[in-house]
Amino acid sequence: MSSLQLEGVAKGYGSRKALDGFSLEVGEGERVALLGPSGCGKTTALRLLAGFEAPDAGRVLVGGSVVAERGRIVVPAERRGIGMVFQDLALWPHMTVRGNLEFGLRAQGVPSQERERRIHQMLARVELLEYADTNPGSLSGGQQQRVALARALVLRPRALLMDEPLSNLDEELNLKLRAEILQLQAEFGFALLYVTHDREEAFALADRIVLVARGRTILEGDPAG
Amino acid sequence: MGRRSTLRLVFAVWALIALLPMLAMLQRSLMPDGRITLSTYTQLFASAREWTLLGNTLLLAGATAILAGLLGLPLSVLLARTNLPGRRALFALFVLPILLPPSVLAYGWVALLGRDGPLGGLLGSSGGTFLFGPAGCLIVFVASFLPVVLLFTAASLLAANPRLEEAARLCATPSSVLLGITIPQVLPAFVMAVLLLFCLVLGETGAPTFLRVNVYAVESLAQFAAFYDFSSATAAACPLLLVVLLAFWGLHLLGVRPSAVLQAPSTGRAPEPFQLGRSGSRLAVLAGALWAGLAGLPLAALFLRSAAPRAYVAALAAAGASFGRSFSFAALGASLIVLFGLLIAYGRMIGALRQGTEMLTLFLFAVPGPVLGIGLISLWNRPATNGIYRTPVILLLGYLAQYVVLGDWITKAALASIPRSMEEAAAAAGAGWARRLTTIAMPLAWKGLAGAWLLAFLFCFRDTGIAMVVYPPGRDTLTVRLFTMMANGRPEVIAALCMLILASVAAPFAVLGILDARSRQ
Repeated sequence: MSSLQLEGVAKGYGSRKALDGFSLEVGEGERVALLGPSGCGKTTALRLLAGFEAPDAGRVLVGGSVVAERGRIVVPAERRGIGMVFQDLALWPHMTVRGNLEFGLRAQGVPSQERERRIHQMLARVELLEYADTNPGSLSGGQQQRVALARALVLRPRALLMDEPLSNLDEELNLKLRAEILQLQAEFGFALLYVTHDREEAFALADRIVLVARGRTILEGDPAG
Repeated sequence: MGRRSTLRLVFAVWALIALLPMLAMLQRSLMPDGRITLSTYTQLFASAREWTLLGNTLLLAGATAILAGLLGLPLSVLLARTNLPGRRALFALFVLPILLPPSVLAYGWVALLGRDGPLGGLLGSSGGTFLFGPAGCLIVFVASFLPVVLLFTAASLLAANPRLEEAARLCATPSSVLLGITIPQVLPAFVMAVLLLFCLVLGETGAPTFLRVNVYAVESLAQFAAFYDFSSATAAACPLLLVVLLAFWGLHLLGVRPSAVLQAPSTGRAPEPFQLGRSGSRLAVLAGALWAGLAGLPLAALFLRSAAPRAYVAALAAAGASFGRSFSFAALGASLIVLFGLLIAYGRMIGALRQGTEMLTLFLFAVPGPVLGIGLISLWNRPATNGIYRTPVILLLGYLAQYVVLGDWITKAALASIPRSMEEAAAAAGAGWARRLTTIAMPLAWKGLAGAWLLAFLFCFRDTGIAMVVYPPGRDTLTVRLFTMMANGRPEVIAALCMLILASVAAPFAVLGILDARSRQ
């Protein structure tokens, strides 16, 4: 069964069409990269899947169920079980690292002891345990990336959306974090939809690459093939 | 002289214009007869009355701040971040009272609930006598200064990074996102607005005088205007200055920085509005009713009272000259404010001035107008400077000292929206900094400059605190004339004058709104 699915979706902003009859399927545990230039509609596809916007036409499915269709959101973002790492990370500056992880668990009604256990486990996994009570703004770029990953994964999402999260990092850190993302994906088994304009990054991270231009799929295939 | 030195000099000139009057005032109060003595202060504070007065003033300002804060935070969220029907129009209506002298609303309330007012009969034989006391003053102050909370909090809500909310929306309900992410982000702006409001209330004299509430600013003004006891007036002004200083020290301790609070939106996309669903219409009606209760009904009562055309003819005959003066003083004041504000903001942007200078311009905005006015007289009332003291120049200096923050903040936001490369390209083409500023930055930021000028014009036009103390002999402004007429004028003529003031401020306000709508498109 597909974890994430876009079926012939269209989305426009004023006179500009961001997506135009765009379709995409990401299987359970699959790693897919959306590759294309700026403004081609990659981020819009992620926003439709996350539940931030509804498509003007077509359907959005998560886990086989319709979550949005034709201008209507059927299932809101918080009930889709999807995690996301943003390009600017969007770490909440008024909370500590622990607070950033705890917010979602608390919102989902996870009991206090279980919350504490999961936060501890996740911070240990991304080697940030000693920074639990630190403000994210005082961490290095790489550490902030790991906080953003941990915040998304602590909720055990069925799929993780990543919107060019490594684009602002130097090459050495970029390579290190790619390896870390692959390790975490193998460990937790979530479906990964990774948006990038960097070919090398797409080839390194994905089982399948979807090339997007002007809101449509141009080419799709296995990077090894 | 280089760019940095020139901009520092401009700031130094402004700081001298703004701070020297305070120092002169302190000096006058400490040296009433040429020798240093605390006698003026000891005499003033020996009486229990002074302490009671100060306590009552702080209580009134505190109650206004709390009530306006309690109403302002949810209202800001409702008007700035939800899909409430008619939210833009409601926002404009709620903001409108800040452009009017509070005495206009006070008169409107009396026109509404007084014995002859449309709703006066509902209150029985006592009519609206309760208005003549702290309760009436509190209602007028909340209506008049609620816009401060709305403007700061809404600006901060709209400037927030939308992705912070989106990250939360993936795992939490909209109400949890609002309470856990959105509101904590705007708390610094909200706290700053509430403290600023508290300081602004401290300086109000028009409405308390009309409603017969003796507050400290009125006492200071009375010492000066009624008894011409200048030493006592300056001594009475100093505690208010001290309270404002303490409030700003509190802001500093809380780590609230104006530059952090009032920043341009972090992305081009506005945050998604929270959906109200079916309750949207009911909340819109409720918000409309609140506005009507605070400002709409009193303004409507003024309109009804002034309905006869002859009232307007009489109002113009009585205050036409003051109208003309207010327009020209406000236009000159606004031009100075934008010029200095632009240069100060530009200086801060290129690093010639420290970020802390923003706190100083904000502090001067919060200093009670009569205190600043008494300071100006302390400094300029000397034989050698009669050219300033006895002319409108003293009023313009007061406007510049108090309202430069408006030019500073708005032009700063306008300058920040211009890509740095524009100016760099001009520099590479050989243009000096003054040419770059006037031919590249200013034309590109013209909407911001025009908005700053209009807002500064409105604040100068509505000013009562400074004008009441320093207006040159025979050249009173409209707000001073209104204040005088309130004591002994015919009610329908006063109401007509209030309506004319409303129309005068509403017109530029509408222009601002159109400019804003165009820039959004």
